[in-house]
Amino acid sequence: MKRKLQRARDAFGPMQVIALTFLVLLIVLSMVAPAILPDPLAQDGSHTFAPLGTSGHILGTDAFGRDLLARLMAGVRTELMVAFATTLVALVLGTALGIAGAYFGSVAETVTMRIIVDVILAFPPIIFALLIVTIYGPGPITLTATMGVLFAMSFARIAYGQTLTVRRAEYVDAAHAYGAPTMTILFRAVLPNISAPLIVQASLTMAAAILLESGLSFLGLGLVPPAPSMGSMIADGQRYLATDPQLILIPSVVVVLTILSFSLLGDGLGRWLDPRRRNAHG
Amino acid sequence: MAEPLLEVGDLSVSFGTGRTATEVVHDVAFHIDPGETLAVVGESGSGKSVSAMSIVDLLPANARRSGTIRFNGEDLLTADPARIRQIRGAGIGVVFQEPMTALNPVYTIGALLAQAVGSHQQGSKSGIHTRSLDLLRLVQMPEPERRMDQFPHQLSGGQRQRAMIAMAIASDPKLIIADEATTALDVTAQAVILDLLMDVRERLGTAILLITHDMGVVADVADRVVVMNGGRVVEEATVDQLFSAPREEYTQKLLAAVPHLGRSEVVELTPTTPLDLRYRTQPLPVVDQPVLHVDNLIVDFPGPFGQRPFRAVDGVSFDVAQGEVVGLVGESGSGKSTIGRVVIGLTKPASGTVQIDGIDVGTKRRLEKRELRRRAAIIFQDPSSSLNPRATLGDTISSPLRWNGVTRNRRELDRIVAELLDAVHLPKDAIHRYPHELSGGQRQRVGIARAMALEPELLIADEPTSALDVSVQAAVLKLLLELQQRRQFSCVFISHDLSVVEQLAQRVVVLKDGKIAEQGDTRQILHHPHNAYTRRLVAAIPVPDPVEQRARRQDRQLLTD
Repeated sequence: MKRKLQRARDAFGPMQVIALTFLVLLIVLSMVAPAILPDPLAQDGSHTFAPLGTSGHILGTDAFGRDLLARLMAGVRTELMVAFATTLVALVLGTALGIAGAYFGSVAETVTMRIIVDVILAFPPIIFALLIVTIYGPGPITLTATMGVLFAMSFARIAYGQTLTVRRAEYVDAAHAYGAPTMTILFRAVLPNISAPLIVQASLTMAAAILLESGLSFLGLGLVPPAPSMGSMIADGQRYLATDPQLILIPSVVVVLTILSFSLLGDGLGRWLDPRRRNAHG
Repeated sequence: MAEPLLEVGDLSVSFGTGRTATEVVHDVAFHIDPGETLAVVGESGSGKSVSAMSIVDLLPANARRSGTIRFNGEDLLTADPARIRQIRGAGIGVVFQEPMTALNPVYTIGALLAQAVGSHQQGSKSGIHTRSLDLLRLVQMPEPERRMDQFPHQLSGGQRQRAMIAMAIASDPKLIIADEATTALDVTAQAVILDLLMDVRERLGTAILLITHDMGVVADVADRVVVMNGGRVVEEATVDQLFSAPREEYTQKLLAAVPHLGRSEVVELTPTTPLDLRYRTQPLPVVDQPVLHVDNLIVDFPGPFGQRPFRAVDGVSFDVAQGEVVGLVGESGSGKSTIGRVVIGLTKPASGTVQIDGIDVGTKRRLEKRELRRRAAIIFQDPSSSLNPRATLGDTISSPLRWNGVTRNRRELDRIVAELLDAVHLPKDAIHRYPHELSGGQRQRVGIARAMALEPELLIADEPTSALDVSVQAAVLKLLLELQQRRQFSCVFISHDLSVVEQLAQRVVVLKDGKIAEQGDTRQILHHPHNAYTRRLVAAIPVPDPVEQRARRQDRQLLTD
């Protein structure tokens, strides 16, 4: 137990602690925001472009007099939810593809790794998203599904490579020899032993999903206005860059810090779950 | 008395810094005289390799050394890195364990040798080339001209090790450090490489520091021996002294654990009750036929596209009778493990018959498959990779019971696992532990417990002790014998080591390139082999007795000349 704690301490430096604190704060704030902040969609024609520190509007208001902090928190909430759902879809789909391709080989490998993964990776992500949104229309469901499929491909590659190694381990042979059903081998012998790099990838995917979501919303392909999102707030704000720079700066900073935090967390997780480190500390 | 060539005094080595620093070598002292062969022998973790590598400063970056290392009158511990590099090539040559990873795979043998030659002597291109060729001839490399243009992966293991030695002696070093240089080789290749090292020593007057765990190798070539354990020197003696009258208790135990070809005594077993897990509802019918019947077995592995497949097993036939232990012996690539995998159903044969109690192992019928799994079990070579690192030992040991419809009742499983743990002499609380909490020997006991779970009629033991230290090997072999006596199962014991097989098997099947070279009674094979290959194989095994080994060495040279 003590060793485990020591290992965690070695892997998570001060940067990771700051990142984790920031994320926890952001999540808590965005969850309680609806109860304590004004309605993010309520327009107030008399209070447009209120500056920072206005009473009732700590971060001021936008061109329609909507509370910036409330919109920010609502944006963060949807963004985190979309990113989380995206990561979950990507993790499950990608891992399944990768394991199936590596474990069963031959035809399964051609179908999963060549026909599905390589073809999708050949599309530039923005073009792929444009295509899907054009067909199905924008919205959180389309967004999650599109990004989930896109990000699943890197999970598939990782799972594929890891499974190729694990498949040859003698404990998989042993499971075969002692009559384990295929599903038992996949879920009990293969999956637990390839999980570490997948968990790290999940954390990095959270960051990438927020980035892509912001980009798509900025282009109007993500969440539909007037629903707040970081990307659309940045897009709206750029018109008033000269007069009211806080409208673009504040959401930008929040996006950057969120992405950075997830990346830092991913680095820490990577160090923590690295089996070589595990050996070093028992 | 002449000045020693190398003198190591009070050498301590620790890894890491500050709080987490661990000292792994404590106050080690030894010396080597010019032209002498010193063997540093010990089990894994004894600090023998770390001690040797600290001489040439080839330790990981977080290592700290203290003490004195004097080579040729020069202090190596305080010398600056540039000088150490010079000495590493010109004064001391190093031969590593794994020639495949120690030779840079993107260069030809010629280029690698040219680097080794060129870094220590100035010369024209053709001069370096001639010198490289001479070196290859010196290490008796077959077809040296052709080898110059070949890459490491195109050479056999023994040839790669010859190339390594050629590089090590490129600049006429006064000392060669051979770190487990023959461990990765087959026994016949090992004998040739040891001969070569002795030949180099004779011709160039080079001293040799031999790091090894193999007492047979020590008896074969060493003049003096340093025995290490737990990072300390336990005993130092001449080779004859050490083997005839070891002073220290540790050395005595170590020597007693080493299997000695042709001299294996019957292991004393305390009489025990038969092992009965009390879950089998009806006894298996006694059938009047061999437990394992292998007839004209052929196994192919697919080759690269368009090329002919590789025939790993080529027309092998043998039987294993009820309660019999048969040794399956051969060098790497002989197909011995492949046969084991076919019997257990992990590899599909191209043709031939393999039957367990009359049931064909290729059967498609579910009930017959389950019956086969109840009758045959396997122990794998590497205990650290044959146990799922994410499953508790209880789960691992009970898995055959759960997967084959014996029981899924927790309490019943726990009872059987406890009984199995007891049978392999592991504590009962091991049930909740994970593989990484155990030592190599304990892990292999878990592998054996899992194999015993279904009370098999036939056990395939695929090199179960070759990854273990000798003292652990002896204990695991004793356990296997004990269980065999309690359960009376038949066993196919796969091994490259004839002296281990001798302890267990009544009959031996010798394989060479997928074919049976010879099969018969163990004593007959070991003492009066008919086949030329078997004769060479038996002669190549070093026995842990310097006097006997010297005689064997002469006999072997007669055989090969």
